[in-house]
Amino acid sequence: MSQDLYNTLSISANGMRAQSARIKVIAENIANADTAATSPKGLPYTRKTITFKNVLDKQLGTNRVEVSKIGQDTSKPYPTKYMPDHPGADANGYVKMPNVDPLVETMDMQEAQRSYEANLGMIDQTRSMYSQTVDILRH
Amino acid sequence: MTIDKVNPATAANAYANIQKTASSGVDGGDQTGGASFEDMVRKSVTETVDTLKGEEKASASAITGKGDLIDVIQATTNADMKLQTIVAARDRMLSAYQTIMNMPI
Repeated sequence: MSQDLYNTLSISANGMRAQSARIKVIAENIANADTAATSPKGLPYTRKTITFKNVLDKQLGTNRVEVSKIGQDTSKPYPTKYMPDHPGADANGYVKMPNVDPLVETMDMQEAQRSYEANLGMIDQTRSMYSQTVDILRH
Repeated sequence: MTIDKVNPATAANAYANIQKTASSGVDGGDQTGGASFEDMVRKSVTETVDTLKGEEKASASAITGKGDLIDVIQATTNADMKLQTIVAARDRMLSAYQTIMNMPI
């Protein structure tokens, strides 16, 4: 039984690591939200995406979460902005901007934060359950 | 933490001695039971000390900026749980020993 509680700790810690990686990707997207193309032929910053995968730990018999892939979001087109004096402007004065939507990133960030909190709560709960069990020994 | 100054083998031997002394008075004390008890104490103490050392290492690397905070939390919580268990078990064993020693013969 106590082994299960120890395993819970490592499962939740892995969840926290995964959410940290997600926050990192979101931070990169938000930081680069205005990184336009530097030449008319070049591309602006492309939004990064992160996917998770479930990994079975055969030794412990647990399913842990791990980062599967950090890829690029090529499904969304690059919006254009009229900036004729920009070095990346084409013949008509339009510059390609990153396909990052700050609103989507903010929602993703909230989600990552809540998920991180949930994992942290799991660790706290596990520890408190274990302490309560050990307390029986004391009386 | 000064916990690594305590030699786990010494602690385990002490517990085993207590057990032997307690069982020698009783006619034909169970020797196999004594050995497994000693092993149990030795194993749990060694394991706890190892966990605590791991925790110290993780905390030290976090202070110098090399470690991962999540690793520290995991190691600290693990060490805390192990230490709680061993301390509670020790208190329980000592109180049992004292109860026996205080018995009027």
